[in-house]
This record gives sequence, structure tokens and C-alpha cells, in this order.
Amino acid sequence: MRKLKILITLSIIVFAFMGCNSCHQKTVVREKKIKIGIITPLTGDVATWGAMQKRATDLALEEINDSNITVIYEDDKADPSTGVSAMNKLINIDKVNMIVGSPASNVTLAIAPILNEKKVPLLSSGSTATKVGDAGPYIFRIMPSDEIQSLITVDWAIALGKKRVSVVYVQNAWGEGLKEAFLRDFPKKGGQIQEVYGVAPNSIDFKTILQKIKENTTDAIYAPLYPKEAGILVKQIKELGIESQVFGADVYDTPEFITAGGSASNGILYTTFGQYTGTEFEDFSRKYKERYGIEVENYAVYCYDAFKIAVEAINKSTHLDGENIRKSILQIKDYKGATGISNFDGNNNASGKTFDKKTIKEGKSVIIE
Amino acid sequence: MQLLLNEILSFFSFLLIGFSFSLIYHSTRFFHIAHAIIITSGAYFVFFFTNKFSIPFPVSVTLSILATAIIGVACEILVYRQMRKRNVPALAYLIASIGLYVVLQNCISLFFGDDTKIINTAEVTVGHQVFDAYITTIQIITIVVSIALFVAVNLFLHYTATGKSIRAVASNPELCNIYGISSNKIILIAFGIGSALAATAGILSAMDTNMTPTFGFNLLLYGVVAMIIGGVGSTRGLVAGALLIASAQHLAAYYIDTKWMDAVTYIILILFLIWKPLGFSGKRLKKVEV
Repeated sequence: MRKLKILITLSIIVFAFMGCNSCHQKTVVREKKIKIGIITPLTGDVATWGAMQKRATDLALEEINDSNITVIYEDDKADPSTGVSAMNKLINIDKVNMIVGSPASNVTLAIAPILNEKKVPLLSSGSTATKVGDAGPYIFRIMPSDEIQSLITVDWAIALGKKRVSVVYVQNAWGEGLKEAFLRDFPKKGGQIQEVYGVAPNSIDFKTILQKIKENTTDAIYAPLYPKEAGILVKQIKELGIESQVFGADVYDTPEFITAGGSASNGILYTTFGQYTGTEFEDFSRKYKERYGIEVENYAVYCYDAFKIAVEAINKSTHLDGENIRKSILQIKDYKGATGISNFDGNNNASGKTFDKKTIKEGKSVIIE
Repeated sequence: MQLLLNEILSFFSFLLIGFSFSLIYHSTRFFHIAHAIIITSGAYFVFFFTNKFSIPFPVSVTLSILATAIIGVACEILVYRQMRKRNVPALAYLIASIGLYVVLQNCISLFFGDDTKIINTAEVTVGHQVFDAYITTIQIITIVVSIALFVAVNLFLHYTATGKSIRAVASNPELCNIYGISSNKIILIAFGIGSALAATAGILSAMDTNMTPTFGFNLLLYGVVAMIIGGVGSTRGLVAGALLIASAQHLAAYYIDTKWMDAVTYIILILFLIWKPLGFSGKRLKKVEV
């Protein structure tokens, strides 16, 4: 009986070791699996941007064709609190190695402190707000900051002789960043700021502000607003017989703005992420059209590159922990992608890129120069 | 002058929505939050009919108003009436109504997508000049239609048998049942008319300022505030309430800042709730209403 007991005990110990052994093997296998989380507005006010991000990322994933890479999409509705829960799910439950996403700067700024603390790198595919540049060591972005975007608009307005400008901006990190940069730089170049109005997202009635703008002689209106509000604004500008030139910003570069603004969107001038026209871009744009039957959107190109850079950084990283992946991103030199060459500068912005000037002619967006 | 015109436009929009909401609130005594989606769906039906079936615009507007009225009535028959049968507490209606709003709003998002849609494809042109202000054709239509509907429905409520029954049910449903007026049937009619009015308001608003699946909610909120300020159940109070917030909003935007438009609205609401909780009309609320 005693012998039997010893035998049982021994066999349990042996099995336990075997079990442990096999579970250890499993974790080794699991470590090779790479998980990338995508945070993007799949629903909500700027859902069109989320749709672009998903199309571009799916295409990039198909191209890379590596069964060890898993992509997990989470919706942020371009809303900071939704973004924070999406991120918590990604880092605590899915345990992603890295996050690519959100075009909404307010979401990126909301999740940045937690990501820095948990040491999970984030490569933003579209948050241009100035503050994102100082959001911490683990926050990267693949485009230049809004400081540059605003400066281009300042110079552009001065060059067109629009010396008296009123500003109507959306009250979030992106809108406020652009407004502040504009208010700081425009007077330096000899311009004069007339009226400044912040509007809440989802506003539909701009008639009273426009009336005030009309009473103060205004050559131009700088309006960093989301496409939905911007569309209504340009309509009401036209309806009220105001002839000031409207300057917009990067989010105007969506079909939604043209739909919302109707024929009033013609002649609007705006800046948006620079478009690169090398072979990498041509290649991607052809594949995109074959796969989805639509012309590639400007933002989709940035999502595609952001995802591919993320994969490359993880693959080149010695270990799959945040610190090493971060180092690996910083070591990327002259990554040639569909948006041109990417390097990361001191503020983790992709350097060397800029913004294009665009306008809308007969319902189509056209690059100027 | 432009300021005055802007105020008038907001006033009519608040009035029509507040009126359609109070019609339902009146006879059922609970906040029908899903009314917001009734406003939205009116506009989306027009979009659906004109774009999918290329039905001419006036016909599809009529069809949409009918379809939306049917949805409103369906809410009542399928949800609220069942709840009344089970005699659930008043709070349950509010929660059911919020649930209904979320479900229906997501249905619209699923079918049509979340991006802006337009039902008014006409070229954007400079409005008609009235003195030194500008007004577009759609805005003129909004004013005319609002006045016409407001007057017509009020006449209906005061001078027809059905209208009188609606008011009777509003004041005492149990007594009406004793007198042989079916309160269920009357509530159904109130839902039908209220929803049709809301659909009209939604379509007019969407023609002026585009639409997204959530646009009805903000519109409804102002309508409800106008109703509370005006005093529940008083038509004249509603007119005064709508006028007060429309003016307050635009004056705040003009003289202070646009950031204050919403704040001013709710400050007025709070002031009224503290000092004049019964609104302009000052009618005392019955226990069942609270």
C-alpha cells in the first residue's frame, strides 16, 4: 500500500513536470505570435476614416501574408473615453505588442499616458495635433505635426492677399491645436485676426457667428472643422451671401465633406497630408483599386504605411516587449513606403513629410501646384 | 435683421418638435426619448425612397411621413402598450424608450452608414434678400409649414371630437375610460400625429442642414426644454418657451460666444426649475405626472 502511494506521488510529480514542460513549450510558441491592435473610428462621426484604415490594413496584412500576425480592430468612435476602453481591452485582454491608430488626436492624447506607463508603443496613422508630438516616448506618428500644417495655411493666406482672417474651429485637441498655431503665427506674418469662434462637434447652426464675421470685414475664414460641420458651414456661408475665402484643414480631404457641402464646397482651399507619387504609391494605389473598386484615399495610404512600419519594427526587434519594439522603431532608417521616406525625429514624428495644398473643383479634390 | 431671422428659424424648429413631443407626453405621461429617432427616420425615409426607388421628391416626402407615423404607432403598440398592460413603474417607460432609441438609431447607422447624407441636392445658392438679411427657400418653407401645421393641429385638438378626446385622455385617462373613450385608441392617434409632425420637422431640418443618424437627438432636446419651460400641457407656454430659448441662444452666440449657446439654454432650464417649476403656464402637475 505504501509502495502504491509512493508510486502515485511520483507519477503525479512526473506528470506535473511534463505538464509544466508542455505548457512552457506553448508559451515559447505563443511568443512568436505577434498581435497588433488597431484603434480607429469604425462607427461614429468620422466612421469614414475608420473604414479607410480597415481597408488599408487588411490589404497590408494580405500582402505580408504571415500567419503569426494577428490584427485586432477596436472602435474608438473618435471619442476619448471609448478610445480608453478600447485600449484597455487591447493591452489587458488581448495583450497586443503594439497599437496602430487613431486618426482622432483627442483619442491619441487620452490613451497616451497609459501607454507610456504600460510601455506599449503606439504608431498613430493620422493624429496631427501639435500636442501629440510631446505625448511621451512610446507615442509615434507617421506624419508631421499641425504646426507645419497651420504655417502652410498662414503663408498661403498671406500670399493670396487675405490679410484679415476669422477663425471658426472645432472644440477638440485637433481644432484647438490648429487654432492656437494659426493665432500665433498669422499676426507675425502681417495678418490680422478678426473673430475667433469655437464650435461644439455636431453643431448645425453657424448663421449667427457668420453674421458677426460678415459685420467685421473678413477676407478669409480659417475653419478647422470636421467634414460634417464644415459642409454645413460652407453651405451657410454661401446662403448668407458671404464672399470670404474659406481655408480648411486635413479632414476636408474626404468624400463626406463634398457630400455635406454640396456645390458650396467648390473653391474651398485646404491643406492635407502630402501625397507621394513614387512607385510604392502607384503600386499600392493599383492594388487598392483592384481590391475595393475605389480610388485610394489619402489617409488610407498613411494607414498602410503605419501598419507595415509597425510589422517591420516588431520583426526587427530582438524581444517582443515594449521597450525593445520602441528602440526598433527609432532605429528605422529611411523606410521607403507608399507615403515616401519615413524616419522618426526627436519628437517621434515622421520627419521630412509635409502637407499638400488642395482645392475642390466641380466636386473633385485637386492638388494645387 | 439676420439675427432676428436666425432666431425665428430656430423658434419654429423648436416649436414644431416641442409640440410633437408634448402631444405624446401629454397623453402618455412619460418621456418618449425614442421620439428623437422618429425625427431622424423621417429624413432617412426620404433619402431611401428618392435614392433607391427614384420616387419623385413630393411623393416620397408623403410616403416618409406616413411610414414614420407607422413606426411611432408601432412603438406604442409593440412596446409601451404591452408595458401598460403589465402595469410597470413609470421609470421603466423611460428606460424602455432610451433602449428603443439606441436600437433604432443603430439600425439606421447599419443601413445607411454614419456619414453625412443629404436629401436636398439642389445647387447651393445665395438666399433671398429680406432687407439686409438672407433667407433660403427651404427656410421659408420651414416657417410656412411650421405655422400651418401648428395651427391645423391646434384647431384639430380644440374643434373635433377626436381632438377633444385626446385632450380629455391627457387630463384624466381613467375617467375617459369610464365615459367610454378608449384611452388606448386615443394614445395611438396621439402617437400617429406626433410622429408625423416630428417626421416633417426632421425632413425640413435635414433639407436645411444635412443629416446623420444622431441629428434628431439634439433637436429633440431643445424641443423638450422649450416644453418644460413653457409648462407642460400649455400651448401658449410652449410658444413662449421656444421663443425664449431661440432668442437666448442666438443672443448668447452673438454677444458672448458660441460656446455659450447650449450653456445658456440649460441655465434657463435650471432657473425655471428652481423658481418657476411649473413653467410659464404655472399649471400644477398632478401626482401621476411626476
